[in-house]
Amino acid sequence: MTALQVPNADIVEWLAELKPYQRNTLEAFLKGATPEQAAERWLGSTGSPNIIPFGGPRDTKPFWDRFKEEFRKFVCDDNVYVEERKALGAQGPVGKALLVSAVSAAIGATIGYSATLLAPAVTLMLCVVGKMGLNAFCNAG
Amino acid sequence: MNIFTQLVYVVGRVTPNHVEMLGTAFLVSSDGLIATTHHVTGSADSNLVVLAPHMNDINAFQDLSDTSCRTIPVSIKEIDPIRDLALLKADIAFNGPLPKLGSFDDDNVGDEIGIFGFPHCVEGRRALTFQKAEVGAKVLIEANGIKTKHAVINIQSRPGQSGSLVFSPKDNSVSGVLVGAWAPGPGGISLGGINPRELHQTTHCVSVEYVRDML
Repeated sequence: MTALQVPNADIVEWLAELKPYQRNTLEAFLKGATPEQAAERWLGSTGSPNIIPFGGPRDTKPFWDRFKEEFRKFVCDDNVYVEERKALGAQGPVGKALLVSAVSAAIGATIGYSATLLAPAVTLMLCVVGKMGLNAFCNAG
Repeated sequence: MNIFTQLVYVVGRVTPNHVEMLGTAFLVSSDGLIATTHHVTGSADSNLVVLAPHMNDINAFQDLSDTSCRTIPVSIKEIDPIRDLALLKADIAFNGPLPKLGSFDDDNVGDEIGIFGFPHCVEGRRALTFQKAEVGAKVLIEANGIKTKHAVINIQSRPGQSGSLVFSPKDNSVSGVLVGAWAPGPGGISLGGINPRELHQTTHCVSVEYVRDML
């Protein structure tokens, strides 16, 4: 199967694909964190830990590791997300926005989380893959 | 006041046997965008709904024995996990003026605010409830290094009220979204399902300007 094409672009260009409220937060995170750490912070937050929420399912399932595992499968493993990767490949070189959207939707459907929550983390991780190169990222373990 | 009967909803999740009520939400656009907190919706939008308004006169007696409801499917359109906000999309068309989305910048300490929500809905009780309180303090709350404008309102709140609409009568605008009660650190005990550490009048509301940024 054709390898996923991930553009090697500056992080500023990747963040430009996000909404301002997402971009501003990630820019603040990135002042003191790597892109991967920033992605983990984004996904690990639910407001202030000092405020007791008055509603909701209180979902405390471990999440970051599952996300990272699925992300790695999507970009590195030819045997999973086959249809999604084929659809991306059929469109020729795809833009960053479409790539973020497709990866977020596919992973979100697998782990049962909203794609809109995942998109900023996917953006950061794709930036890492683009910078490292697909082979280097996938061989890094 | 009656307009709020059409703007404020219960958020729920459809299960095989019933609708699990999760908290409160409110309409912010005439094409069906609805604001609530992230912790109310969680991060998955499968089977997520709002309950259609069950009344149009706020002074009418709400029959708590009536457990029928009409559900409207919603999807999660945006999530800001840092500020604990979520924006939902429903197939709703609202004809009429909506209160503008303001900010706690425009409210002073001591100003009266109104709260519309569904206290105890997580325990199966659906009663749209109006409360009055004053802004007790304006504070910045830090989460993961990001500071967010909150108002502390001088009233006790209960489960189900997360996502409530906080209204400023001074300029007829929405000022904030109710988030929860201040209770730092681990611990606490449960007495009949109630944690006494939550029982105080330090209720936190996040400024609605952050919802505006998500539209």
